[in-house]
Amino acid sequence: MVNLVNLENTIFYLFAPFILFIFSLIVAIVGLFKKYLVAKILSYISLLLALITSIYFLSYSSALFLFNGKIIIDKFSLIVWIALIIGAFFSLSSMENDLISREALPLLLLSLSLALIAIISRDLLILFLAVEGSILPTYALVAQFKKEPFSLEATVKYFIFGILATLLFAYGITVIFGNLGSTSFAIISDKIPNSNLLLSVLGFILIILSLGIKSTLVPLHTWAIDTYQGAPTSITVFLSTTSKILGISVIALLITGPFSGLYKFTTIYYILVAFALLTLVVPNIAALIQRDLKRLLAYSSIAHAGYMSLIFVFPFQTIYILGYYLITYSIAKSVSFMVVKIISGEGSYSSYDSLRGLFKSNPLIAFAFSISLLSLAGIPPFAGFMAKFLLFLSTALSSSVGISLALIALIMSGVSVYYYVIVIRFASSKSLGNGNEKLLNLSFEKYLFLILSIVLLIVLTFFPNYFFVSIPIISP
Amino acid sequence: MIDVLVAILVVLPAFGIGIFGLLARRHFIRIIISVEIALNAVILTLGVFSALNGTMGEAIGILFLFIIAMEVAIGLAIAIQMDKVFQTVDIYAVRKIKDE
Amino acid sequence: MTFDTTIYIIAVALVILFSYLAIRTKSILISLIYLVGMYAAGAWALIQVGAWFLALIYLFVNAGGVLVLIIFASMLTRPARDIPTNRRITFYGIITSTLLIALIGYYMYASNINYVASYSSNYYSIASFIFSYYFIGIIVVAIAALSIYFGAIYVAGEEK
Repeated sequence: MVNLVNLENTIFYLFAPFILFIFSLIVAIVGLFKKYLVAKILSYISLLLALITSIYFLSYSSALFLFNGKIIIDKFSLIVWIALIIGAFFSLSSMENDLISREALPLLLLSLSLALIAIISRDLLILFLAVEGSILPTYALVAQFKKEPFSLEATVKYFIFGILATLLFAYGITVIFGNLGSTSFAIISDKIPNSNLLLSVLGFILIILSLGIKSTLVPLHTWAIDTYQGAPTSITVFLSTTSKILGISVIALLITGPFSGLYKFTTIYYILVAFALLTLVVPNIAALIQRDLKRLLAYSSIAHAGYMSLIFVFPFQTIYILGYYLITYSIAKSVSFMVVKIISGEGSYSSYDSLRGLFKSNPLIAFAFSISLLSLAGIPPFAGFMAKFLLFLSTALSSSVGISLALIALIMSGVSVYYYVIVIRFASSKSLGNGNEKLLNLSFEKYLFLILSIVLLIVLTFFPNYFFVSIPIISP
Repeated sequence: MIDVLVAILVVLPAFGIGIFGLLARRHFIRIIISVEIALNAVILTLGVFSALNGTMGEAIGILFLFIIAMEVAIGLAIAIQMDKVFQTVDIYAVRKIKDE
Repeated sequence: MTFDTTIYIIAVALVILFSYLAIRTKSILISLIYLVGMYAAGAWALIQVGAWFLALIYLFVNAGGVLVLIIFASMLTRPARDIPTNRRITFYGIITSTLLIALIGYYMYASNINYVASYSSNYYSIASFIFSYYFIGIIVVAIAALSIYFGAIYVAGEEK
């Protein structure tokens, strides 16, 4: 256990969420005067400052302990912060400088700021407020009615399931409070062994159901596909990274922290194993029959929630890999959606045929796209391979159930290679027309981010140990 | 003097009605009313539990009220914009548009 | 069962009746009247428990804020009276909500919390919880409210 420092200088240590909040106000005001480029540059600056502070705090050997232990910044939360900020970077770079960006940028920054607070909070109620607060602006981000039926379906489904998750979470907190008399993580983990266990199990099941809706675990994933397809593509980049990373890492935080006493109970254990099993199998099979690029990528992101949920089964032995997995997922998934945005705009539909001749006409885009897909599939020279390899290995080494789950994950990973390769084959095939593909014009930022992603996905393969997390600290 | 177990169990049907309305109604504003019904059940449960465990429960309930009020606000903005663009607040109207 | 519990059960029965009617009626404005009834009955039940401060805030926020919002929204949208019910979705809704109630009810019943509690609100204590214990929570709620302010303008704004 590392040393804990009690600090008075709060604003300095909450610099990353604070700077995002301040810049969101400035960006909103700048956007009123239609200075779209300035607004975007300011958003980049705020994200960059947040990223730099997160990396700077990583060099601290001790955890930071604020607000009487209701907020603790440790290595776990800093690595998850980095993954969240990377997703927001790619979402920002895939937006055009127009009305959409003017209205979406402040919301995006506010949502990210609250997501950062959610990861470091060590009190159930503050966690609830921050998670719900970070989901709220995304309803407005998705709700862009463009006379397209899919955008309506996306919004309505997202809203209904989001509110269902909120109500379940609220009921769960009510039950936990009624049983234990407090919402602080430290007190919960102390009191659980000597309390009414059935009520604690009920509260925790409700909270898992709620977070399962947010992180698209399988019986609760039905909203995700239509929402990812119907939302504007640059917003889909944000949804598929932020909401999922938030849900998964909060479940990891809860099962290793306050509710670790409940983890021995078979009910909780079987629920988590069933979620992991279903989330591994169902989306990978369903993705085989898709004929739309955006839909395929939505299914693939649900499948990745399945690989991540392997961690829940034996959290104390496997959680160290979570940070590295989240970061590689965040980069690869956002690049793949960003390329869809470049090829077919913000619309809901993008067929495989729109990819034809991509390697010939736009080699950089095609190259970045293939590398991101291969990384998602887990093909050796790329970072996704190393993440999957370490995850499956540590799961298999944990116990006999772990071996069978890791085997299923391996098979499903093999299945997934098939549909990724089909997409890459479309990109490398000849075009159907007269061979004059249009040259897609890339702005400077998109050019930069595509090259950066290629470099990162290759380089990160060799440095997984920098992103290993430890078990989250819940009490001083 | 309140029997805690009885007081919690009798509120459950109201929560169920709220969840049912949220999932099965087609009028968007009716869905938002269902959210209010389910929230009412949660707040009542919290009131009973704060009788058991002290005033902290009421503080939690007040913060719940704020969050749900915000969700209602954004939901009503969505309903008004839906009425402007699609000329209806029926959430299943989208099926008809897709079939055409 | 104590006398207070009996009164409480009557109040909750009114809540359930009003919420059922609010879901069932055809006209949205009439179901808003039932919603007012549900708020009043809910506040009565809370006062019966002793949580009168929560009941007060509950009425302020819901009757003063949320209800006015819903009335304005239903006046600004078309009065869709003839939306039919979808039998398949109704079936799934009943199944889901019944399962959820059964899960919660079973665990609650099996946990066997046989307490008889008496209680009355203490607003000094509530204020100290909100403004010192959950201080960061108030900040988070404020930021979320700001994002809703931007978001509602974004969704229902004129220029598209």
